[in-house]
Formats: sequence, C-alpha cells, structure tokens
Amino acid sequence: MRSSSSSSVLASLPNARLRRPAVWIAFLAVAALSLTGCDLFGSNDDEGRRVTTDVVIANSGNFSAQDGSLTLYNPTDSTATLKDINVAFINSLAQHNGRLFVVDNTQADNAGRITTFDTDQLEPIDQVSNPRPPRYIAFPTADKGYVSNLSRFDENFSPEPSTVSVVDLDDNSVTKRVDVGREPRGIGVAGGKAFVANSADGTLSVLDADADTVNTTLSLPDCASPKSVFVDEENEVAVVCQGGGEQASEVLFLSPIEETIKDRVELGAPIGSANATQSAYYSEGAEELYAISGVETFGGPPLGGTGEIFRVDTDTNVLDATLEVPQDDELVNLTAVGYDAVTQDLYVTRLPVDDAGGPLFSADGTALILDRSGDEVTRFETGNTPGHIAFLRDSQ
Amino acid sequence: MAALVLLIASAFLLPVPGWAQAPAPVDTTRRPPVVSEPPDSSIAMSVTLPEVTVEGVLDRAASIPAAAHVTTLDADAVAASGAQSVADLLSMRSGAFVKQYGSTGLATLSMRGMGGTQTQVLLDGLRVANPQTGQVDLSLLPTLLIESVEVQHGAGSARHGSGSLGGTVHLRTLRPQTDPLFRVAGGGGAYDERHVSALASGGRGAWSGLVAGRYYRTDGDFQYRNSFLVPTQTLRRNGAGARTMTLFGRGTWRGDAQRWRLSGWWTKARRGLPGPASARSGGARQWDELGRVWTEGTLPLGAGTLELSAQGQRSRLRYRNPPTQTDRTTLTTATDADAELRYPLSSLGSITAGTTVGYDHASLDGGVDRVSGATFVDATLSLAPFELQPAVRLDAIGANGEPTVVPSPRLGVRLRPFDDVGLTLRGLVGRAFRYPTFNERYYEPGGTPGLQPEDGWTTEGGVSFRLARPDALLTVEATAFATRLTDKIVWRPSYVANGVQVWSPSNVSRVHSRGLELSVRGRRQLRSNLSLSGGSHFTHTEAENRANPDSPAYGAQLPYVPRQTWKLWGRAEWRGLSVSATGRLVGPRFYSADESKSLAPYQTVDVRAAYEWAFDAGRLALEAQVKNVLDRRYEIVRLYPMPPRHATLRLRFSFPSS
Repeated sequence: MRSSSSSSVLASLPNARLRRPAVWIAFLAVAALSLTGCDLFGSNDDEGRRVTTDVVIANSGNFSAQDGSLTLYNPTDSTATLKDINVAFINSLAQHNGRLFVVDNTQADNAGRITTFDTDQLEPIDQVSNPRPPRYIAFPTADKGYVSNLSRFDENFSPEPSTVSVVDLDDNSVTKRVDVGREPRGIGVAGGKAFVANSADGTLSVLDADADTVNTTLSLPDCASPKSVFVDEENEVAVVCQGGGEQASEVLFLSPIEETIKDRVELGAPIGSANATQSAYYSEGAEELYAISGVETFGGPPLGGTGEIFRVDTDTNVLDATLEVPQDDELVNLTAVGYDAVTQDLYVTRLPVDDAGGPLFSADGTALILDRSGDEVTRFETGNTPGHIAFLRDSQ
Repeated sequence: MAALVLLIASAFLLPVPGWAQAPAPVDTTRRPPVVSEPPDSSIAMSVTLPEVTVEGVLDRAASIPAAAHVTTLDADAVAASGAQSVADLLSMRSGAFVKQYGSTGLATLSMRGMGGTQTQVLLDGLRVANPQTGQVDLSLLPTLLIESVEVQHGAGSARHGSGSLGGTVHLRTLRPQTDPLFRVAGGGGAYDERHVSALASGGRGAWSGLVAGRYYRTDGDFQYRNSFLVPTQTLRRNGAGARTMTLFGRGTWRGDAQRWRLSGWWTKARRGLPGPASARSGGARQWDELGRVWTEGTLPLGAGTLELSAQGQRSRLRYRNPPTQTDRTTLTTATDADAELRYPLSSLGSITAGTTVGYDHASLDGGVDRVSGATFVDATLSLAPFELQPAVRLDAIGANGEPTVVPSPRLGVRLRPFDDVGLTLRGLVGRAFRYPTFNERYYEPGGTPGLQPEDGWTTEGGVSFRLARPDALLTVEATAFATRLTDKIVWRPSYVANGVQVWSPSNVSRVHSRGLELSVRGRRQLRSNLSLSGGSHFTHTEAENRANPDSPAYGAQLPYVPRQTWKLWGRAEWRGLSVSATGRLVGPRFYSADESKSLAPYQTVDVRAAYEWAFDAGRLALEAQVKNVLDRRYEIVRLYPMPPRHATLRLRFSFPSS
C-alpha cells in the first residue's frame, strides 16, 4: 500500500502548536501508519530498492527449426543482445531460487524439456526431460515444480484431458503425473495449493501441494478459456479468462482458502497472444495485472483481438486503463507483455508482417517500450517470434 | 573461379601440337595408318586402318530445346560417379542443389531458387512426381535403372506442362540389348549398410528384354553431438534405418520401322524418421510403395515419326508416429497418355506437335480427382546462322469441375557464329507454371481448394564452347538467368481454436530469382590406357522474396536456397584402375525468412577407387568408396545431421567381359 500523505504531516509538525487534540491525532496517525508497515519516507514498494539488470525476452523461434533463444535488454544503456541457448520451441519462462527456467517443446518426440540457467551469465545448469510438451512451470515448494502439459487433440481439434508433471528439482526428474482437465495452462500457488487453469474446460484443478493430488475441480461460471493464473499481494488468486464466443474476457479474483470467486473485472476484448504464449503479466511491485488482446489478425471470431492492453489494479480489483498499441505497417499482433515496476516501463512484443500482412513466425520480432499512457518510448529488435517477458533484478 | 576454370581447361589441352587443326567432333582417338609390304606379291600392299574411337554425343531428349542449358550424364558418367541413387548422382554431378533430410531422408531438387515441387522429373518422358505431394523423393530412385540423365535448367512448361519452373530432370531407363548381359553386384559398409543388385539382359531377333533388381539397407546410426542436452552428449542417430527394394523389367520389340517397349517398375521402401536431432527419436516411420507400368512406341507416319506413350502409376504412402498417435495411409494414382508427331520441314528444320491426357486420383478427403489435357506445338527453324525454337503448350486442368487453362509459350534462339569453332550463343524466354498439388488443395486440415497455379517467366542467355581433338574434349558453358514467379503458394497459420494453429496454403508470394551457372567438363587421353576426365559446376543464385515491402522477408534470400554451390570432380583411369574424387562446397543457407539465421557452409570430399579384372568368363570389379573424407560435421537441413566419414566396399561381376 502506498502512502502519499505522510510527508505533509511531518512538514507541519515543527510549526504546530502543541494543542493536545491535534498532536494526539497526529501521533496516533503516525503510529498507525508505522504499525501497518508504511514507509514514511517514501514508497513501500520494494522495487524502489532494486534495479532491473536485464529484461529477458524468450524468443520461441520457428517451430520446425526448433531455434528458441533469449534477447537480453539492458534498460540502463538501452542495448539488446541475442543469446543462442540451444533450446527448442520456448513456451514460457519462470524464475525460482535464483535460476531462470526455460520451458520448451521438442516437437518430434512429442515431449519437451525444462532447462535451468544461472541468472548471471545465463549458462545452462540443469535440465529436466518432460514426457509431454510442457507449457508452464510453477513452484509449490523450494525443491518441487509443477509443469502443465499440452493436451493431445482429436481429429476435430478437441483437446483431451491432460496432466501436470511433478518435478523433483534436486535430481531433475519427473516423479509423477497428475490428471487434470483439458488444456492445462497457467498455475498459481497459494495457501498450500496449486491452482491449474484448464483452458478448454473453464475450470481450475486445485492440487494439494504436499500430496500432489487434485482435491477439487472448481467450475468458473462464465469464464471462457482461463489461462493465466497469478497470486497477488493480497494473496488472492487472479485468473485471466481470455473470453470467446458470447463470453467477454475478464479477470476473476478467488480466495485460495474458500476457493470462491470474490471479484470479477471485465476487460472488453478477447485476450490472447498471437504465439499462444504469454498473454498476461502480473507486477508484484506495482500490484498491477496486464493482459493483451493480441490476436488482432488471422484469429477471426471468436478469437479476433484488438491490439489493446488492459491494466487491472489488483489492489482495488478494478480495470485501471485500456491502452492502445501504436499502429505500425510493419508490425502485427501482440505476443507477450511485461511491466517493469522499477522503471515504470511497459514492454510488449510484436511480430513482423508476412507476404500477405499476417504474422511472420520465421523472422525477428520487435519489442516496444511504452509509458503508462501507452505511448512508445523506444523499441528494439528481438529474436525470432518473441513469446515471453521476464525481468532479472538485483538489489542495490 | 575464372583462374580455376582456366587451370582445368589447360590440364585437358596442353601441350597442343594440333591446336590449329579443325575440331573433329566424332573421332577422339586416332593413330596414323600403318603401311607395309606383304611377302606375297599377289597383293601389292596392305593398309592397316587406323584405330578410331568414336565418342558420340548423347542425343538430347527431343523435348529439350537446343537453346536451353543442359547438363548431360551418359551411361559412363553415371557408372563412373559411383552414385547409388539419383539424389547422390545429381548432388555430385549437376549444378542443382539437393536438399536432403539426413542420409536416408527425403531428397528433393532445387534449381534456380525453385523448390522440389517446382522441378519436374520425367522418367522416359513421363512424369513421376506424386500428384499428392508434387515432388519426387530422389533418394528412392536407384541409379541401377538409369542409363542417362539430362538436367534441363529453367522453364520447361512449353513441353512438359505443370511443375517445370526451376528445371526438368530427364531420366532415361536402361535399354535392353539382344546380346546377353549379366551383372551382379553386392557390398556393404559403415552403419550396417548392405546392398545387392542383379541385372540380366538378352534377346533374339526383334525381341529383347531386361530385368533388374536391387536390395539396400542401412541402420544409419552414426554418431553426432546433441548440444541441446545439458551437458552436451554424443549420441547415435536412432531410428534412422532404411530398407528399399526395387524391381525393374523391360521388353522391347524392334521392327523394320517400328519400335515398342513395355516397362514395369516397382519399389518399396521402409525408413525411420528420426526427426530433428534436438530431440530423441519418437519412432516415426514411413513406408513408400510405388508401382509403375508404361509403354512407348515409335512408328513412321508419312515423312514424320509418331511416338506414342502411356503410363499408369500407383503409389502408397503410410506415415506412423507413435508419440502423436498418428497412423495415416494415402493412395495416389497417376495415368497419362501422350502422342507426338515429329515432322521434318525440309531444310528449314522440324516441327513437333502433340497431345496428352492425364488423370490423377488421391485418397484425401474421401477421394479427389484431377483430369488434365494439353496440346503443344514445338518447332526448330534453321535460319542460318540462327536457329529458332518457338513452342507453345496449352494445358487444361480440371479438379472437381473447376477447369484452369494455362498457355505456356517459349522462344529459344541459338547462334553458331563460326563454322569451324565450337562456339554457340543461345537465349531463351519462356513461361512456366505449377498447378497446386492435392495436398495444397485438399489436405485435412488446412487445404485450400481454390488455389491458383503458380506462374513464372524465365529469361536466360548463355554461351558454350566445345573443343574436340583426337585426344581431348573440352566443354565450357556459362548461362545467366532471371526468373519472376507470382502467385507463389506459401503455407500460413491461422487459429481454429484457442491455442490451436492450422496452416493453410495461399497464393500470396512473389519471387525474383537471378543468377549465373558456369560449368566445365573435359577428358584427355594422355597415353594408351591412361585418361583423365573431370569437371566443375558453379552456381550463383539470388532468389529473393518480393511479396510485401513492409515485411522483413522482402528482398531476403529464400530459405534453404544457397547463394553459391560449387562441385568439382576428377577421375583418372589407367589400365583397369580408376581413381576419382568429388568435392562439394555449398554456401550458407538461411532458415529464417529475414536472413537472421543461417546454416554454416559446408565442404565434403568423396573418393572412390576401383580395379577391374577382365578375363574370359567376364569382368570382376572391386570398388572402395570413402564419403566425407574430411570428416566434416554438417547439415543440409537444420537439425538433420549428415554422416561423418565412412566407407563402403562393392564387388561387381559382369558377363561377358566385352
């Protein structure tokens, strides 16, 4: 919680007469603020003491070429560097225990890997071989990971129920696979539980993070295609429903203890990444959730997007702003989003156009840096098909 | 490069005591006549005629215009290459780029920036491409069947219809002879390679026949480094084995003025598809089976010659991939019937007119059909010193009631400015097209039934120089070309469900391709029983996407089209011993659309040594071959490594000895 009034109280104290009511009121106010943890000398935001060393953009690569890579952007000197890391098609990134986890799909064997890198030199440290193409990874404990696995599809493109892999991070092995719903995607961990979004079912599978079993399957009424799952600073589970058909996109806020929906925030346009990767981002420092309506071409109804970015204040659970990405004849769609609360920069990645004006998945993309109003500040080139944004930070 | 060409040329020409002599295009070996006085005075004298070796120039296929750039490989060249498949042969001895997915994977041809579906392959004048995929896997065509090959560069639709955008490969199969011939060969090598083949030919009177068969297998399990693993590991290529069997038969009847042939070819292949080397093999497999029967006849018709041909081809392709639970079988049928009448125009030249009908069927989407018909006129007009070669073909192709009519005109010009110098100037302009394949129209999911043909125009100009002496032969050619292709079919993604992409083809791309093709070939008889031969092909190709100026792909080199390729080979024969070496240098190949990522250039050298013993019962030959002598680690296609250095041995027996 921020406090913007504490400095005015201090300024008035030396000139105030010691009238008892006013003094006592002021004293009580300061005490109350201190007890609640507000920083009287500035923002309570921990990000203010940390610096962003690198903005890491995972370039998924061309699926058949299996050429995933990373682009590292240094916001201090505004330089971008491409790092080839010998991974296949990158689905997502995650950070845990000072390591960067790269989740990739190796295609031919219908499986995948999770490769861990140190966050200094980004050199590979370990690797987990996953029996199915992995989507996202979350960490219910320090030495355990949960990985959502891609569903198989029948001849009508209907997904079949899939699994979550339980990964032992000490010996880098998959110890168990837990049955969940169809098209499991994002995972959020709160209250000793893991909430897995089953995108094709409109449900959440709730796993016991100790027993690695599904306790309940929560139905999410009027939530079409739940995908991204975050846990905010109020310890609420935020689920982004991408929308589709008759159902609008929205963000649901659930209590992890009661497993009930507390708030719903409607967004206004279908949410999605043109690369089917990162379509939402939660900034802990800013307590804001960003979602992109990224499939603005070739998706068609009901998947057609608008090129907008929605910002939700997760402290008050309201839609704070709708930003429009600047038009560009050479760029199309949105594929990933991230917000750096330290520099207050919004990053969004886009694809170049192909022969007919649609997205080109076999060429370098572009990352735009926008201000909080959605105006472009600068841009830089990424690798092939950028798909996920993360921030590496250090304490000063 | 120019210096190297001159060096090669000098090896075949210097010293040149007979330089001022007029070229003798037929006789290549001559000794002076021996005159002696016999002891018997009833005969005043006798003359021993000089020994003359006749080296004929292989008759170009009648459908190839003289103005086109053509690479010819006769039977000796095919045998001398040591190539076991047409893919290997063209990779070693032509200017084309063979794109191959590993040592046992799909091999297709790329010429002048065009891909495998845009290069026509003809077997005895009849198309062989699978109508479903539009291409031929050249790794499944054994050289056992092949007598000669002509690689025609550039537009060829004026005679061959759909698919001849980048070029046309004319394969001629073996011709039986009445004299008995028996040949058997077998061998093996690295990665558990085994092969055995046999051929028998003979006849009597007007009849002759030939049968041949071949079996080949390999495990393909060579070592490679997988840098996608942590830590990097050296693994064996798993699931890359292949087994192929081929049978070929032909019967010929030759009358006074007629000739008829009936031929059959069956091939079956089973091979593993290990997938990209970044992942472990999922156990995917593919089975290819093809059966083909064709007949050809030549008979006089007035002052002209009528050629009739017909073929029926049925192919079955099964693809199984356990990890994706895929098991799919498709059947295709292709039939054609052709009639061509060639008529001389007295001293003016000749004219050929013809018609063809065809029917194709594939088991896609419940069964799809295509009926085609075409008529052409092709003339050669001698208007000294020029020779003009105008032609036009009209194709009508109907698929499910939607006929498409495409005219393909062509004009070639050839000029021999000097009678006594083998210098030829040539130029050609022509239109070519490619009708969409069954997969592009009807594949589920994603096929686009309303696709239009790709359309291209080619312009080229060239110069060739041929010098023939009694002991040497040299040919040097240079060709510059430019091609513009519109309505190029490319596959693009669309979402059919949240997170589910389906790729569909559409006519949205354009290509400008231009370049230079240089070749030199020569042969020199140094001494009795000692000869040298060799050659080189150099190709520079700028094949650029020209569809959308807002796209980073605009102006970029097309993926997997190398800008430069260079092939160099040499062979020495002394008595029964022959030693040859082939080098290939291929430039970088981009695998991204914007030239941001590329595969490294690679160089390979193969060497081959063979010794042949001739004795009364026949001829016995032992051959050893080492491929990739320099032990390079390279990929033609990203993540499909090619084998490191490896060797094979082969033993061949043939009867009779002459």
